[in-house]
Amino acid sequence: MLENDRFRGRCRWLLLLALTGLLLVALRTAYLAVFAREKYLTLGRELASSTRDYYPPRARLLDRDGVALAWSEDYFDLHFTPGPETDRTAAAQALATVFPDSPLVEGVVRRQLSARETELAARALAAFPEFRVVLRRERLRIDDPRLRVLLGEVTVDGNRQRGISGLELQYDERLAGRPGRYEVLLDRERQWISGSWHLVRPAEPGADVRLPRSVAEYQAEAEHAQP
Amino acid sequence: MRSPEKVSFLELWIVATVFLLGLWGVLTVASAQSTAAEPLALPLRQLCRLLLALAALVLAWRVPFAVYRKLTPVLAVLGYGVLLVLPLVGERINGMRGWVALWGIQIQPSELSKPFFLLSLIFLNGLCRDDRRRLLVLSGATLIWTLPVMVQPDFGTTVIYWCGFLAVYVLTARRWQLAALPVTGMLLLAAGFVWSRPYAWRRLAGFINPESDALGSGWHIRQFQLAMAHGDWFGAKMQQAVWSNYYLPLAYNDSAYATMVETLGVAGSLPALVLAGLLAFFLYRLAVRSVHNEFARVYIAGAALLLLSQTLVHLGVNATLLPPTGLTWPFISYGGSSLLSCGLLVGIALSAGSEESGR
Repeated sequence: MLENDRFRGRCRWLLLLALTGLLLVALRTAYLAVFAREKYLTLGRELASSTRDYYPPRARLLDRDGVALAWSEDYFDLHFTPGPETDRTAAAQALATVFPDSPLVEGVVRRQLSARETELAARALAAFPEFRVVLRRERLRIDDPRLRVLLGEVTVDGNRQRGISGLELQYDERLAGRPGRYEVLLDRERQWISGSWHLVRPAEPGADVRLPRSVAEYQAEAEHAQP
Repeated sequence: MRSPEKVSFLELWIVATVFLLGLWGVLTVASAQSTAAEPLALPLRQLCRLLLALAALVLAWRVPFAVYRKLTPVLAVLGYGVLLVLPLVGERINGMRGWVALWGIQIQPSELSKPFFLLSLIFLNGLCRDDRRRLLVLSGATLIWTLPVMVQPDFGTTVIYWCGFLAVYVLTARRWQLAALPVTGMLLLAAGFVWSRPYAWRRLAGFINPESDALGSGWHIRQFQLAMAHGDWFGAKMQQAVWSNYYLPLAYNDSAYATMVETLGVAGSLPALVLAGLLAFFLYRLAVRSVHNEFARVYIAGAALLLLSQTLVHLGVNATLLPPTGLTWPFISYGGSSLLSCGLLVGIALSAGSEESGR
């Protein structure tokens, strides 16, 4: 048996060593949490935060009398994108509680959700990141093939619409407005963290373009121009 | 069972410190679950387990230490026996076959065996007359105990068992320097393991330079750093503890300290460090009070060192001073087996201290 003094001395040394370890941890904590904080917060923002532009709805093309020739409408579709770990049975059961008449398919499950349906889906399908409500922006135009060339075409890229021909191209900048910017935090699965969204810069909506002539005049002009 | 008698202030302080540490742990678990669907489920469960662990501590304390000494061979066989069958019947969780389900409750035998491992080492130590024999017997016993743990694989717990060996040997041998031999052997073994396994090598490389593979092997290290940076002096609010809730793996368990710093800040986590140091100090005082009984005093000091070494490894990993390894923080991290095991360790240590003081 070790003598009492020796035992006491060894205990003391071991305790001192351990307390030194605790002190080292405390100092390292202070360094990470306070002194080098900005460096790691910047790294954290780069990793977790996502800054994205969002586009306002494209403004309208109106004739002289205010009749809409081209306008944009927003729809919300429910998408399903499964991964290798997805429990399809559970996902189908969850979907059936909200939309019993929609089968579980990859891609678009249901189109044009109403506001109420979007809310119900968000609540019932929150546990499944494979489900997403996706904005679909469509450019609609007056139902007259004679005016198609005059009005021109628009490409749709996500929720951004860009005129590529005709009046849509001519007045593209005025119709599109200026995109806004938001920042959101993403979790490890790159899903939005609820409550982390904030606006960096608001979007500026486009301005309606009122054309100098009426629909009838444009239609007559288009008829004359046909071979 | 011993009848109730006067309890010293030192013993009361030990129990109070354990309770306070446990409460800090419940708060840490709550902050890691603040955005969960049921944010109170795990913290309430942890609180119940803490109370159970305290009950086990008191019960273990009331049993005379002489009973533990007498039953050491039986307890050792039981504790080791469960470890032996674990690779066959254990459940694999987080890549480790280290759990057994009993009546729906997950139990981790390598945690619960720690008090019995310590008892068995001190028992074997009592049979040795010289330091060479002591070194051989104790290191051999530790190797036998840790082999089934390494097979799970649970290298964090293996390290703690070896810290237990070091504690017992240094506290009983005249030539404590001889302990360098088995320690060097284990370090060489560890180096050989890392060399032969690409995933272990990548983990080490990620620890040395997290930037080199921030999304791969450096990920875990990076999350610890980001979680702590988010804490500042006084912590982020619970709902805004982004890293603990969305990024840190096992935030309420293996990453408990980083979670605590993110939510409570430096100011809120320092008291937990002080409590851990105080617990070690109070157990040290209890050990040096037990001057006449080697078994008792070595058990008390050994228990203190086991708890402290596990605390330091956990803190070191979370503060990115050590490579990542899964180890809980005694009394703080979520986990019934860990709480119960630590409660038993301290309870048996209190029993040893009571016996020595003749109470």
